[in-house]
Amino acid sequence: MAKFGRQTYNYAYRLCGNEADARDLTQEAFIRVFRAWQSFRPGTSFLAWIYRIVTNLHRDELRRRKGVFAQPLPDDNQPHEQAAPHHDPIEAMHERQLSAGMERALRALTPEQRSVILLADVEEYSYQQIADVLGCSIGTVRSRLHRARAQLRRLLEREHATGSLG
Amino acid sequence: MTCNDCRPLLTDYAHHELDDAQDARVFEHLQECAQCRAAAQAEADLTDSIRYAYSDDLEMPQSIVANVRMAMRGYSPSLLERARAALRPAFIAPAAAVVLIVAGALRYGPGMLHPASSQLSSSYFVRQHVAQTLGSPASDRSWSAYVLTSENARSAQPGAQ
Ligand SMILES: [Zn+2]
Repeated sequence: MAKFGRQTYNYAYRLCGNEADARDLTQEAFIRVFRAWQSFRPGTSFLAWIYRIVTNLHRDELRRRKGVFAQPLPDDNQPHEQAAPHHDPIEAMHERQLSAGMERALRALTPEQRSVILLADVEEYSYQQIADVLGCSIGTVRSRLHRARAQLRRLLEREHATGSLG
Repeated sequence: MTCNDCRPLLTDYAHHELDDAQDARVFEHLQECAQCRAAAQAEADLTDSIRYAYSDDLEMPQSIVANVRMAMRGYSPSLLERARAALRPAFIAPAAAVVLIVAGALRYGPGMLHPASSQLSSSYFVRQHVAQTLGSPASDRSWSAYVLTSENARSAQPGAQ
C-alpha cells in the first residue's frame, strides 16, 4: 500500500481537487482493492486497476451528491471546499504553487475531461491504458482528450483575455 | 501532407499515438512547415503547463493506512465468497458490506471493536448502501463493473458454475 498509496492519493487529489475527498476516495479504493484482491489479474497494471476504481468512485460520488441534493453540481471552478476547517499549511503552500490560471482552467473541466488529461499528460499513460482505466474505447479516449485539451485552451485564453491570471 | 491533414494529428503525435507511417509523415511535414511546427510546440507547451500545475507530489495522509486497516479487520474471505455466490450481483456489494460488519462484530465482539473503527467502516458502508438504494440504475451498473470484475460476476451469476 505504501508503494501505490502516494500515487493513488495524488491522482485522487488531482481528480477531485480537495484533500478531504481525496482521502475518502483513496481510502475507499484501497478497501475495495483488498476485498476484491482475487480479481486482480497478475501481469496487468495494479496502478491502472486502482485508478479505475478511484475514477469510478469519484464519478459515483458526484452522481450521488447530485441525486441526494437534486440540484446541479457546484461549479468545479468554485473552490467549494475552501472553507473546510482542515486547511493545513502544507496544502495552502501546495495551492500557492499551482499556476493559478491553469489550476482554475483544469478545475473548470468536467471530471471526465480532467481524468483523461491526468492519465494522458500527467501519468503519461498510452491511449490503450487509459481506455482500460476508463472502460471505454481507444477512439473515445482520443476524442475525449482532443476535446479536453481544446476546452482547456479556450479556458486559458479566457483567463488571459480577462487578465485574471495570477 | 498538407497543413489541414497535419493539424488534427498533432495531439496524437505529441502523445506518440500515431502509427509509424503517420508519425513519419507528420514529422516530415513539421520539418518544412513553420506554422505546424508552432502548433506542435503549442501542444507540447500545453502538456508542460498541465504537468507543472500538477507537479506537487503530496504525501499520503497516514490516517488512510490506519483507516483501511481498521476497515479490513474481521474480513472473512470465506464468508464473503458465500455471500457472493448466494446473492445476485446487484445486491452483492451492500450484502458483502453487511457480512463484513457482522463478521467483524462476531470476531472481535462488540466490546472489543474500536469505536472509531466501527463508526468509520459502517458509515462508509451505510453511505454506499444509501447511494446504492437511492441512486440511479447507472450507479448499480458501475458498481458491478468495478467491484465485480468479469470473473467474479460470472461466478456470482446463478447457474454459471
Ligand atoms: Zn503545415
